[in-house]
Amino acid sequence: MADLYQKLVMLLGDDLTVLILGIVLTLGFIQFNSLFLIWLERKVAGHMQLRLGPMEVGPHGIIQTIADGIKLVGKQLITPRYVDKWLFMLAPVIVLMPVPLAFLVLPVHPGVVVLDMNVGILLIFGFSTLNVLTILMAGWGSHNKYSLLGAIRAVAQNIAYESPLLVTVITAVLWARSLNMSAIVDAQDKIWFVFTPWGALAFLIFLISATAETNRAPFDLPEAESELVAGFHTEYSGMRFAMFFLAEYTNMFIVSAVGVTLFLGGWRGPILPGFIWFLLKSYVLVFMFLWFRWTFPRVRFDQLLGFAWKVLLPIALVNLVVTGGAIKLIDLIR
Amino acid sequence: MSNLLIKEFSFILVYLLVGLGFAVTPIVISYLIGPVSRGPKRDEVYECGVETIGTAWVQFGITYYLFALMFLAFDVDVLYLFPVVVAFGKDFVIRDFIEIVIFLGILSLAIVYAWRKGVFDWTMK
Amino acid sequence: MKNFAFNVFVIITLIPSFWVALSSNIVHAAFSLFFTFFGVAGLYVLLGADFLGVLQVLVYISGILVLIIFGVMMTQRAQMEHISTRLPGRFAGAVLSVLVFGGFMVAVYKTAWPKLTELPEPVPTTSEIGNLLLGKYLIPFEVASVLLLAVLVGAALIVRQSVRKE
Repeated sequence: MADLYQKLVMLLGDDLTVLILGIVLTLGFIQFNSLFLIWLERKVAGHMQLRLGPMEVGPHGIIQTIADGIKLVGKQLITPRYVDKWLFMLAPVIVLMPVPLAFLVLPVHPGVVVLDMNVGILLIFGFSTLNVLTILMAGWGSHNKYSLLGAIRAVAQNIAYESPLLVTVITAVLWARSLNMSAIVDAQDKIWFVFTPWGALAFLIFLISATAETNRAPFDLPEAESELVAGFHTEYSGMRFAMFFLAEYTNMFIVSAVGVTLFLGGWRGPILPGFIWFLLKSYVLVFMFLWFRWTFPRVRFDQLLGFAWKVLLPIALVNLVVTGGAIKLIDLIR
Repeated sequence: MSNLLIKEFSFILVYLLVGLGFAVTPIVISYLIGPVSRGPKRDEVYECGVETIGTAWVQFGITYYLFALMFLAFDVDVLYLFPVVVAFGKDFVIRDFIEIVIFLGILSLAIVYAWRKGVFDWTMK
Repeated sequence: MKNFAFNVFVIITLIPSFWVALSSNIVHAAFSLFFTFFGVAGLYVLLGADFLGVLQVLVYISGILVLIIFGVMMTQRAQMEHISTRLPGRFAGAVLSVLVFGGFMVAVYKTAWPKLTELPEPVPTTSEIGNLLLGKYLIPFEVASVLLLAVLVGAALIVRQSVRKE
């Protein structure tokens, strides 16, 4: 491996090697992650309901998702009659465009990050909010009542939970005093942020907001099957639908990985190599999202918005001030 | 323009383009190899099997707009905080803490006001 | 290299802006602002303001653009009535725009811009901005929160009135 890397560096130069390796690994991981997560979700759902989940294709249905993917490629792309063609066709493309960008700045292993950027954490959040726009595009473009209702709900929910989410991110940034992802991991070398009282509270708020941001149950009103069919992607079929699915599952991983980096010490951990810890922690968080889905009943829309503005945001703001005070106290004692 | 900036810039751009290609390629492949079926009902709007009535492009409640506005104000506020917390505690003793508390205090008044006025209570019609 | 990137981003900014002005479909006009804002963010980064560039994406695309689109969707029958981009008094309009454009061009060329033969090495801007906000520009920083408070209170007032009318 190291030998091959050296040869590539000789051939292409430092930056280009890193870029190409980064792209290959990122795209490979996005594919693997969504195949694995979709399988995992069905398995977890099955076992939590005392069923087995997919069993037919491969041992324990492990290649079921690949079969599904191949099937989806061979499906017709239906464009319904009254849609707004431009918006309808652009939405599934733009939804995936910012997704690889998050992997550009995530530190996955000691010293391993594709681009060590000064404003890394802001880059992730800046581009992940494009999601809201694509949902609006899809919802409006589909010319379908379910789609529009789902899209508007999704946007109202996303922007409501964006505020507490950003405040908790700021709390973590305040603790590390840097927007650089690697520096944030470095700042947690003595103690993971989650093991401080204010860090634990911030992590809890982050987790709840992240569940809402990814439109997962119990905050899955935008895609509430029993009332809105499939929400904003009701009219999408075949590969276009798959793009929304791919983006959704990758975003689930990204939000977990960001949580791990900000609060759980990133790649830090004993014995095992860094990237294994990073993946392990991220997938534990992802598993929690899956677990939530089969544990909590769906909330009502007014409860959903009220909870974000009346509970999460005030607590997050107070927690931010407490963290600032705590930092000052620690500095004074030193 | 420094080399580092060029590197950052081109990396981000390449990643965005890769993301674009990653989304377009499977759709194009699917378009090329997918079957084409026709029929009078194929292109109909999906509404659980019944004939669609009216347009989907309707007006919706203004409360949504208010929430978007609230978010925007908070968003801008929070973004003021990003550079401030990065600089926090470096050159100042206790002054910066007080300054942030005042900033957040004024901001919290907005939440208190909206709460008292019942903005967060969803009005049922 | 830099000039090429600059030109590309200027094109990315300008073409959708024309679409905003000329499109008769108001929803399309709103959505094409996305590319305009995106191009502007690219220009910021090219000028060495990486923090500002990311903020541009965060505030304009996720905040302001969503607000604009919500506003457009709330207009009565946004899609049905195609707005006319041809106004009466085309001649007067043309004269006026030529005059405004000429005025801008004169201003641009008459101003004695400080000439830098070599751009200073860009430093990490974020921390510097924070220091300035906490020190030199403390009053504007606190006033900004008052301003945002006023925005929120105003918004709440307007919406409550319109809800009551219904």
